[in-house]
Amino acid sequence: MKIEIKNVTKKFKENIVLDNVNMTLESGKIYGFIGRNGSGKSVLLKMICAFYEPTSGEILFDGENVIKNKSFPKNTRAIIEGPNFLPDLTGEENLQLLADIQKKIGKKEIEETLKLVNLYEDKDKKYSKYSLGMKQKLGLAQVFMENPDVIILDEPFNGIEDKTAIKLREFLKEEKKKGKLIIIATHIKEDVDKLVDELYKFDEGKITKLEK
Amino acid sequence: MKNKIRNFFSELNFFVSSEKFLLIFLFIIINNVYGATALLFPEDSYIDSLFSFFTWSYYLLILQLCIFISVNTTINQFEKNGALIIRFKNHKEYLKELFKRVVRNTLFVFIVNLIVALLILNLIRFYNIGIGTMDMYNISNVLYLIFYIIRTCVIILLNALVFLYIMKNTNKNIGIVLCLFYLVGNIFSFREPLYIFYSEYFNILICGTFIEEVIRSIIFIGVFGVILKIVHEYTIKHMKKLVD
Repeated sequence: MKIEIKNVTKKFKENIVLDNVNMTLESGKIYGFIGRNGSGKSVLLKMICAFYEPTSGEILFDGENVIKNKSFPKNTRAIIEGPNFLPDLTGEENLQLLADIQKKIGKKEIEETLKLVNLYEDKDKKYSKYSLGMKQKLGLAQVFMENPDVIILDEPFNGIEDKTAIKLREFLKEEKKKGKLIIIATHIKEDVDKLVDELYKFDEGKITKLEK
Repeated sequence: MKNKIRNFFSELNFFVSSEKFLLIFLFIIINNVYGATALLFPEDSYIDSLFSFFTWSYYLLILQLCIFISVNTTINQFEKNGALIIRFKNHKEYLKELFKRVVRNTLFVFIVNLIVALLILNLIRFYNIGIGTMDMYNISNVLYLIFYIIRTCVIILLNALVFLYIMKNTNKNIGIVLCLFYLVGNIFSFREPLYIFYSEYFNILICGTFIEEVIRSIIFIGVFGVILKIVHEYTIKHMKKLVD
């Protein structure tokens, strides 16, 4: 999998959020996007997910312009600004609801993912009873459960206790070895410093690659 | 099947627990109480009163305003759910799911409004149901009432879809203005012989027979549906904003 971001600019009214961004992202690597809140990280992630159209430029998935084709990128899962789960379903039922859309996995895979994010014990609790950290874990579980090729994580370690965060970092390293393309956006550099292969800094619409 | 039913009600509950639904419910209560106190005459029967409610322009305006708020809330809730959206193959699947949610929530608001209207009328008109013959067509007025409520519901559903397509094809502020213009403009449209405005179908049409009115209604709904199908296809190709 190769994602090419070519001359991408995104404006909201007259406000330039991203200015002529160019980068190539490839399988088997972890990419870190860092920058303060509002620096355009989430906007770029949403464009990669084909949720927004760039004002100019293009984003290609293995050469295919997904946005132009009115489709969404295949085998890509994301958590951006927290998902909207149904409050009166349990954690497991919420995952099942999402899994039912593509019907790729069953109960077994869902339970394995819940174990991975240390949420298995609370799988039968209603989402409305979840703490902030548990909600974040469920958000991550919906990303991992279908074994996607591209993993997009916006502030993934927010509210997650150290034990789970360490486990997830190891998991992401393993996924990278399996050839997954992983993008992690955060405003805390230390969150991703040791994890990523390439690091990009977002500032005032411009993106610069940082030396590791 | 059991899971599907549970998910259906959970999604509906998510809509109902939004603050906007509280506003909708408040409008429904005020609209029906005001209708009952300002519109009805003491001699009106239960069935006559229901007709008076649903043929009153201002009552319909508020009801459709509730539908507009409902559509807007449905779109907002849907657009916040990136985890769901990224699982769709394409924009066609995206709009199909949003369409289903708009239909479900609109139907729900319409049914809630109908129940509130029936309950209020039950309190003030319980002594005079008024079952009889509808003189104009010489058929049972209950039969006509059932037909009339179904037609009103279908047209309100089609209008909800108009709101959906306007909102998905324009930016938010322009969309709101266009939807309100569409609402107000048609509610106060003049009566004309071809019955081309949807608001005509919130009245008893003046036709020779009941069958003629049914056929005219089916033709209108059919043409409206075909136009919306074309707009639906256009929307799939042209909508730009998929998430909030």
